[in-house]
Amino acid sequence: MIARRCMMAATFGILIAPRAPWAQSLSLSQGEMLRGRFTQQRFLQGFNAPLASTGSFILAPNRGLIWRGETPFALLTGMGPGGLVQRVVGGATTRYPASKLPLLAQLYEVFSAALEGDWAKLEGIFEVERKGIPTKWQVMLIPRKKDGGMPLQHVAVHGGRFVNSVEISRVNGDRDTIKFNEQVVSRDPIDSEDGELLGMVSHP
Amino acid sequence: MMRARALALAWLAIVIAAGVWLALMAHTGFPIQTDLLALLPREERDPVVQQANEAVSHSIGRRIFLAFGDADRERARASAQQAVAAIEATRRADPLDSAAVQDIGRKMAIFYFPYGGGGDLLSPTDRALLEDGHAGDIATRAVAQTFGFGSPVDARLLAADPFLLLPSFLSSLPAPLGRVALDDGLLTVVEESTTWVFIPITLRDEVFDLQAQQKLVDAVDAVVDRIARTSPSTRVLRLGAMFFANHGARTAIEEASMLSAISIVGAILLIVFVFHRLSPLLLNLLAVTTGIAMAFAGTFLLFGGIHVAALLFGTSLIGVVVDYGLLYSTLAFGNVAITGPQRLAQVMPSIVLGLGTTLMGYAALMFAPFPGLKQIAVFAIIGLVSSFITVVLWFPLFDRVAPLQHGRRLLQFAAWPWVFWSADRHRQARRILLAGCFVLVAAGFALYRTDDDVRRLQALSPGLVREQMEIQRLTGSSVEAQYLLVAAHDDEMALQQEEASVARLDKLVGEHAITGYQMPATFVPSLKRQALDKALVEERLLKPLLDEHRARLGLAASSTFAAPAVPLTVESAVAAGTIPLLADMVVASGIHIVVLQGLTRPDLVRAEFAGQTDIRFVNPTADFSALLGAYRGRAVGLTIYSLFMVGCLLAWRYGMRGAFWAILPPTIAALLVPAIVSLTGQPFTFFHAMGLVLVIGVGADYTIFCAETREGYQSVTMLSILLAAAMTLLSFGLLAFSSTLAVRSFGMTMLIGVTAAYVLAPMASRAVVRLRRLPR
Repeated sequence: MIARRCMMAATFGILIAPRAPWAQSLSLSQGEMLRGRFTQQRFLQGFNAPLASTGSFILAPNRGLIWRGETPFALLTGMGPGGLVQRVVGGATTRYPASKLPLLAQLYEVFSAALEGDWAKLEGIFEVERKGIPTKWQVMLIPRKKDGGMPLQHVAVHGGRFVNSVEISRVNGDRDTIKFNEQVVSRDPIDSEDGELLGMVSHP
Repeated sequence: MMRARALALAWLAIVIAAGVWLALMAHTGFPIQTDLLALLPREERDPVVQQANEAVSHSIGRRIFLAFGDADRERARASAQQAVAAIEATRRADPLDSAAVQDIGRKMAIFYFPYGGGGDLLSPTDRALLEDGHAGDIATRAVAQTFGFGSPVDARLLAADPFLLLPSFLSSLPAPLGRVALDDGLLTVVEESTTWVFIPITLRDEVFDLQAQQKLVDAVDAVVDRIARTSPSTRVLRLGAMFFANHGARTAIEEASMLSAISIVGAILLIVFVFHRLSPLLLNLLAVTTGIAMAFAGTFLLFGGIHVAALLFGTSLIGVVVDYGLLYSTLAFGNVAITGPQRLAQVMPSIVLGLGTTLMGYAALMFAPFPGLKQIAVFAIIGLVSSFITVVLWFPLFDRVAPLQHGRRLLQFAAWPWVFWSADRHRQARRILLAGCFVLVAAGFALYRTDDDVRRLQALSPGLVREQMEIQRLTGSSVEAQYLLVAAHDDEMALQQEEASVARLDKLVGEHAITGYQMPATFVPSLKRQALDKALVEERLLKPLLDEHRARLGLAASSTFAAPAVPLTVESAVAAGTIPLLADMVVASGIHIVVLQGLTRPDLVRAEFAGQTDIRFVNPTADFSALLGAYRGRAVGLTIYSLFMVGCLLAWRYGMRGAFWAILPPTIAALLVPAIVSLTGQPFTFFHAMGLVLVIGVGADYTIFCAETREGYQSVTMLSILLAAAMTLLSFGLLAFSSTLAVRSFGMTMLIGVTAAYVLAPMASRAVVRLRRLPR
């Protein structure tokens, strides 16, 4: 379970983190949200083909993240300082409150730190190597503590104005890649189900 | 004379040996115990309950908590880390460090891994889903988790547990610390912009060992002081039996030292004031010192240590030993010059009878099944006998005091009760006094009520109680001293009992009687449950859905699951040591504890499990209180028994009529105690009752001294009784000002009882004097 939390923390942090130091655009102001689409591929040892999924996401500062998988399965995930909620469309909602996911507090730290461009906090967990120019950059994150419960080899992030892709390599040889596109910042209202999920996760 | 000297020398050798032994022991530190609950009776009826109580109090007693709160997260964390380092440096306790905290989850996952895929372990939710025919939901959930955001699922886990039943089981386990979450390696709760960091600590030594305790408490105090200086905004909270025990012990020791200082200074001043000489002071100091030293040595020898309460009561009890020396010394106020041995011969009947009756009182304490009180009894008996021997063997040898010429007024003053009880002119006043006593007793008994609540025993520090409540509020978890005890033939039966009680416990949670519970069966299902679950999973999940599910995931087919090498049992789980607190819940094979959290309605819990023998509610506080009540009754019975025994002794010496008059003063004194306690609005407790036994002993001393008085020595005797009463009040009576209720109750009893015994004592002698005159 710990591994899972770290992984989420890493992914989540990275998604939003590298924008700030290049300061082209984004520090999201009150009421603004980042939306976009993703394609995720999981390369697992022992599987012939990668597990691929696509969908959309919404990042609401200080509230949480909505991760809406569309193919191959409709699956809604919300996470925030209050924990993690998963809902299978037409099926049950599973809640993982922050008290049972102790690292979630850390996740939220990473989350807010990244939004505020507070690299000091992220650098507490990772060694950060940056390369490139503001319109085309690359960041490599390597966990500082090899035995700290974070079974990550490294995380590579590519981006321009937004984050374009993330590749997570694990100690056991598994690998996830997530590609992002169609990202926009707007104040458009969110639909009621997303709002409900954010409501469930936005408070500890 | 030669024989007397030889005996005196022999006694000197014994006293010196004891002194040397004590000095050697003082070098390494006296073994002083501080657990005030050790004063309580051993649970004599049920060894299982006793064993469970010990396990629970041991496990609670060894755990302490520190919490550091600050608006600044870094400051709170730095303070906590400072404390961890300081506590680790004492080598007496183990703070749970961040690596260990992070490791718990990983170790548990590894431990449970072999039992996952085949369905040996099922979360209650999954079981319900399967029973209700919603197996598809479990399959969908597994797919969702595999494809989901930031999924930790890897191929090895999927191959062993394609429906991810084990992660579901793991996340159904109770969070060990309620609301607390892990923040970068430290247990943390954020509340209203304050970050609280918690450090759970496990003590290595027995928590009630005073020295271990003191070193640790000192280390905690020092680090808290340092934090207060360097980071004034940080608040520190403490939780743990150790802090209460330490505070209780400190209070008791401070009180004991203060009370005994007053007692000693008072005694010295009083004797010098009365005798105008140093030698009676030195002789009586010798008698008391010998008594105390021998009592200490004897108690250490018999018990291997001394309880702080025995120390407190015992040193005060020794105040009685001064009776014998004083009776001897006041003979110097007699007109006739007599030698030491003659003086001894004159007081011998009084002090032998006095010792006999007092020993009867103290010996009665031995019958109280309270380990602490047994120590007190042993301490007092050895002390009394030693002082008696000192008076008998040493006083005549060193006594050089010529008849004293001063003190006429003093003698007159001391003798007023004698005059009051013998002069004809006071006949009316005597009747009024007796009538007054009767009215007091009647009025008092009309208001008589009792209170046996054990929690009143200990003066709990209000500050610590507040800190403890705040920690429990912040963490949202409290481990209660009350619990459910499961007593079955073996672990398997116990687990089945627990599983059968889940519905009732959930109902209690619904009724807000408790906020939660933990039981061994949550972590280790019974073999029966495991087999049922396995069959359920096989029938409803694997057979119909496995192939389809594997295809959906793109997982290669492998037909069967390897059965785990060892079945999951309580024994193997405890041996593995990976599940926190499991060992604390398993007392012995078949004897388990169900921990209750946030208990607010013990009555509902008791009612829910009433009439069952294999699983029952144990409330040590209530049980102890009930036992205290029973022993209060027994102590009153003991008082009556004691009066009867003293009466027999007096009847043998003075005949029936004399005995009647001689027994009356201690009887009235003993009746006045509960009466006056009731009139002041206080409830009568076990500790009042235990004091009554001593009132009888002391009161009998005084009446015997009066009865044995030779013609012309009445004022001298009364002076010695006055001195003795003053000494007793200086030592016992001062306990009435203790902050510990038990000690205060005892002191009140002595204050009332001894005063009454002094005033009423000559009543007996008046009757005896009359009797004695008749044959002449």
